[in-house]
Amino acid sequence: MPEKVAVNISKELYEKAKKFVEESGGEFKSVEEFIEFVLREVLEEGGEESVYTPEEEEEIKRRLRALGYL
Amino acid sequence: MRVFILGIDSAEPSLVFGPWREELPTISQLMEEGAWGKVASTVPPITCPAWPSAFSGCNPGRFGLYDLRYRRKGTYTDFGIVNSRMVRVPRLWNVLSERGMRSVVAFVPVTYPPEPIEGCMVASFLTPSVRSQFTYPPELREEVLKVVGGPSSYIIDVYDYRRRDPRDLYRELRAKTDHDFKVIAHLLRTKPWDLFVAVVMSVDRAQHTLWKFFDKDHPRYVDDPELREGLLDLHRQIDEWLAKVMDLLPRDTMVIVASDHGAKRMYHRINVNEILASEGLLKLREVPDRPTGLAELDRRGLIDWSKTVAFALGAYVAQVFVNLEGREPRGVVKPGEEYEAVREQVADLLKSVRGPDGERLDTRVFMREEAYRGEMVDVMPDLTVYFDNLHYGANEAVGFGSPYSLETAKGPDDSNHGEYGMLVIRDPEGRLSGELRGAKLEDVAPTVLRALGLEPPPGLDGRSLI
Repeated sequence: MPEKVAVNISKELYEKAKKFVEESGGEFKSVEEFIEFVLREVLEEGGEESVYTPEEEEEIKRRLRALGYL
Repeated sequence: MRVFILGIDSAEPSLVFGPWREELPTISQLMEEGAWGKVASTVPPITCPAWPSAFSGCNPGRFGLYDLRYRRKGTYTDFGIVNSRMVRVPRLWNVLSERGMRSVVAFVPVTYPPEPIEGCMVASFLTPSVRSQFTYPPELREEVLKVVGGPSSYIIDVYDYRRRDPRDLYRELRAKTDHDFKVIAHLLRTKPWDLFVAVVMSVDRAQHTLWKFFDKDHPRYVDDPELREGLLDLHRQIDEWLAKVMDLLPRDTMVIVASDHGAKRMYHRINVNEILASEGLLKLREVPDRPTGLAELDRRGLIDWSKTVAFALGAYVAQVFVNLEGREPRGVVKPGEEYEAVREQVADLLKSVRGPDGERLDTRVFMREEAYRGEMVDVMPDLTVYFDNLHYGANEAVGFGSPYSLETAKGPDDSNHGEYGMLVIRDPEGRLSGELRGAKLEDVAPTVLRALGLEPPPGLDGRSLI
């Protein structure tokens, strides 16, 4: 299980999220799970940033420099 | 009906259909039994937008790739390397998967990381390392490594090839071609498929370094009997392998051989940012005394973005971005009239560039909206410039003290990319014959779908050739 941290959000938003979870028909088991899902969607939107690690990107760039692209 | 596609990255139609036709009996026979012609590549004619365009049927404005790299959002010069997830439009194997049809996808550019499909996939040269998960399904990786003789024998790409002895390079490229076809033949023998797509890269790598040995009109022509036929030999090797793998195809298979762009001799590179700086369009705080790339200039704080109106990227073509307010981190050019005026100014300036001996260049400029349509148009360059219709390359480094460079910061280079690729289609039902005229790369996907009995989805930029 990855390490967890606590975050404060407004009560109003929490209640809305809770209602959404209850109406999700079991898709989300908890508000925590729902918020994790939404944040992941937003932060990984575009996906492109998270594919290569910095080391992998450097390795590819090293090769591409030899192709005259970089 | 099934479809087998062999992509030969960078194969130049005027050579394959011209003087080398008789040297390539397998391709020749496919031409005689099917249809053939040159095929218009993407703007720019570069691998990473071109193959995704061929296999999606969409112009690059729909998926937002214009090079091997891209500018990270909110930055001028923090470059990322493109990957498969950036191609948001469905490619052939995605369309087939939805219908339960199987694809084998081998070494196709912009397929790393490999994605789950009906069938299997081996990623291409943007795989970070042999330790990476470069196959789908994951267990295919071990199988592929075994075919080539283990992890230490797996070749992702050739290294540092511009500065090596061309003889070594030639040998290594032959080995790379054998390596790739061993995997292709293995997949053909062991996996079920409706669509098989493979792309080999060795010709592309060879054009850049072996062109000067066969082209007597090349300004840096070298008469070397051993290397005179080097580039042709690499084509012959692929042609021989194509004959072998075609023996493994069922009779009712449509065979397509295509390249994503061509190649042509390169005279010089034009140092675009040097020219923009000399006209005050790119404002440098200090001019470096040695060739320095744009990213390094930016990192060292040598670019005054608050006074810069345009800057260029690109190695084979110039890709000019206007420093547009609201889009760029420190944009100064207002959208609308001011933006249009800057583009016109840059276009006129770059079209007026002459060769080192004052010769007129046949330079072409594509405004963004002429070249691209679609939801990702905003990330595409504002202008794309083909100097001397691609007989001159481009260079983004500054500090040469001249608008031209030959031995560049990027290394020597014999050839540039050409705006046409090649296309040969042998349809077992004989619906296509003779010379194809006016074909575009994005016609490949709808043609394949039609051949497989599927209606191309609406909204593609390409059209079926059958």
